[in-house]
Amino acid sequence: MATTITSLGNKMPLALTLGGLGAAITASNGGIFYSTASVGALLAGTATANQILQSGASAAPTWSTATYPATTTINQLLYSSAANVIGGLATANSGTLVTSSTGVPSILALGAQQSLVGIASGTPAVAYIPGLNRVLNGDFQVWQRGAGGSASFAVSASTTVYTADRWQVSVGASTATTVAQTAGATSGSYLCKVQRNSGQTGTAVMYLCTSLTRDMCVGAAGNVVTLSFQAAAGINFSPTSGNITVTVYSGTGSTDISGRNGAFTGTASPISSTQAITTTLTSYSFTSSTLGSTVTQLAVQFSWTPVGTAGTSDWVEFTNVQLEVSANQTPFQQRTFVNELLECQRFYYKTFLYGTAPVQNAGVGTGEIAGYVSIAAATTNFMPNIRFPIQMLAAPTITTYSPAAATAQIYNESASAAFTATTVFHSTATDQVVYGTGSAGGTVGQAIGLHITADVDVT
Amino acid sequence: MDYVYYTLKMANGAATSTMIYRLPDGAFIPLDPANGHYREHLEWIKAGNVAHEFSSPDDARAHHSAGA
Repeated sequence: MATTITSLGNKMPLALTLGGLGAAITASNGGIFYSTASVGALLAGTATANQILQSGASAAPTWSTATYPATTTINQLLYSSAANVIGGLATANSGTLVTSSTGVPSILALGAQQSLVGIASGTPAVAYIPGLNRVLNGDFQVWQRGAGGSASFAVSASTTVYTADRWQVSVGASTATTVAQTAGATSGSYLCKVQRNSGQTGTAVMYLCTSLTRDMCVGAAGNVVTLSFQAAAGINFSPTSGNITVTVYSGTGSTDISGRNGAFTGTASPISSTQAITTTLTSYSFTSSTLGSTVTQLAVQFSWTPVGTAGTSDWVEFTNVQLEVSANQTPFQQRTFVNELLECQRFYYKTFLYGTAPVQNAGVGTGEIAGYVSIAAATTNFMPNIRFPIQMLAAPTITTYSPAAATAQIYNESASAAFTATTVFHSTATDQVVYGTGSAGGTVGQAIGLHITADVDVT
Repeated sequence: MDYVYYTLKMANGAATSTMIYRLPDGAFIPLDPANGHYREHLEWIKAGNVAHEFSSPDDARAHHSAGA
């Protein structure tokens, strides 16, 4: 060995090409050998753990400033958890990457039918995708059959009547009841209040229910539905434990049903639950079993059994009733009044102003159909044909109202005289035609008027 | 409410029309199977009742008032 070194003479330090380093190297603990263009070199060791070696392109390598974890956890993303510190971002199942208002990332888990909602200056949040509410007038905005927003119905014992649009109430003997629209806690929100009148002694089951036409049920067959609503009870609400029964009926018939007396075929109750109602307005939600694959009909019913003699607050009120094809409750689908009214007018329409309950002798200039006498004296005169705001479910049943007399006749407003024999000549889903026999003294050109209601709801 | 139904057959020139007239509420019901009131009328007929025929509602009301 000594002989070999002697033979190299002044060739020390030994060049790279001869197997040496070509340079005098100073040792560094943890250093890394590398090569320059001509000689070997040493990158000094670093006192900081977990730095990694980085290429200097065609120059000397360096230690990274950032530190990296020695190990990682499955499914975690690596990110800068602090300046020059690479760490793992905790994972979550079925989630998405979001950041906070200061840019800090995290994984936000999303449940079924949830979506991401942006928050101004905050971390995005999850929210349920609003479902399509199959129930019309679930927030009890529309009361065409009454005096609009101040509607209150005196429901006689042993009757079934429509009250709020699309909602019918049924009560038994000795159960005279008042059904009214009441204002909710927030502007523009309403409830339907059903009150067994004070002193009534009837204890038969009371019902509040609505039905869906077959086209409103499309998509429900073979799926689950969720019914949600809000309810509160008066301090004298008399049913045992304040219980009501919440039912969703389904059927497979080929007829559009109406309320609880509808022509169901193959009736089932995919939701049938008992719920205690308290004096505090509370949200409730019920999810059905899977509906049959041939379901075409659905109806929602609330029922309760009063006990004893009614006190002064034997009532229950409901709002935000929603039936959706979903396994989850989603936020109530708030429709505008105009849209809700138009949807309801598929089933019921009146020529009266919205705030006027249909009645004989409501007054001239109250929205009646206006025409003129075209043939004098006691001869047949037709009222102008009017077309309904929306095509109705079927050709509706028409009831006529005189605007200025206690009859149901066309009224000659110029002569202040009622027609006779006012008759609906035809009614279709889009229009109706009425005629009558003019008053004896009627002359051509005199103004005539008539109110009507058009109704396809069956109690 | 107990209803009584009448058939109104009306003619206006060559045009004719048939409606069901219901009393005591005075509702005019079209002959549309999709109309639930018309279906109720059919049930009433099926139960053995007869819907007398008139050409005007006034005549039907008179008949009804007379308890005929």
